[in-house]
Amino acid sequence: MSKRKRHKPDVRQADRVAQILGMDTAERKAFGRHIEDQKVHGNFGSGDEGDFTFDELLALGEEFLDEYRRDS
Amino acid sequence: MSIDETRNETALVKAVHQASDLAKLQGIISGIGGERCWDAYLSYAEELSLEIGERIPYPQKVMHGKEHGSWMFGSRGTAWELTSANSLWVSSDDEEDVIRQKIQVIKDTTITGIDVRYPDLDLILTFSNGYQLAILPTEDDDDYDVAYWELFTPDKMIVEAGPGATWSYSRADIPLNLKNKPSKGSA
Repeated sequence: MSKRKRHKPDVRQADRVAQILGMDTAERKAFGRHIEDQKVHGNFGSGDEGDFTFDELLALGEEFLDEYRRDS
Repeated sequence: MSIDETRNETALVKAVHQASDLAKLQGIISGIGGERCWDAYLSYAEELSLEIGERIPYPQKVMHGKEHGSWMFGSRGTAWELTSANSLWVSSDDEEDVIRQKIQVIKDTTITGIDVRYPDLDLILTFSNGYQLAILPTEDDDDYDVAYWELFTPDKMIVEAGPGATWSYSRADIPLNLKNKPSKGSA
């Protein structure tokens, strides 16, 4: 039914990053919100339409998790 | 317990062969009935997210100013439609800006109905203003190891439906690289 770009691959990619970094599902959920915030604040990736590449997501994820767990 | 249900210290995984296999799932998610849906937004990859129930501030600086619900819902990139009186209001096929604006209609409502449908694990949420959100998995969604939809509960558990004819109920605080979720069909 989708006429637009399918987003499942992007969700899968972010999940893969979360898995590699050892996030739990609650952290993965917060990470998804954090990534979207980056775009809202003009911090786009170098992929198509400003999407983050896998390596960019991985770097963002490392930075995010470090900060997130520091205050948990 | 049948061979179609596996359980360990952190997870319950249930294969779905008949409508009654959804009874326990329906029981768990019925907890959002009567709760307030106070936020609706798009997360990464245009995932429709709902914050429901008690408002809980994130203590982490990296999430400064943000709150999450005691229940959190995510569409996981699965197609969805929001309708009113059987008329389509907005769907996952619409442009991102349109979606962001139109989903505001379910903010500050109460959830009055929750229904998981056999066999496709469609999820139908009804809101106090009459709008209905339908999460509509398709066969294409089974190409990815990503749930059709998910719901975090107040007791740090997560319900995940799909992919395939299975659902699970597991701890949300277990690192994903330590989770051993059986692949579809093997539950």
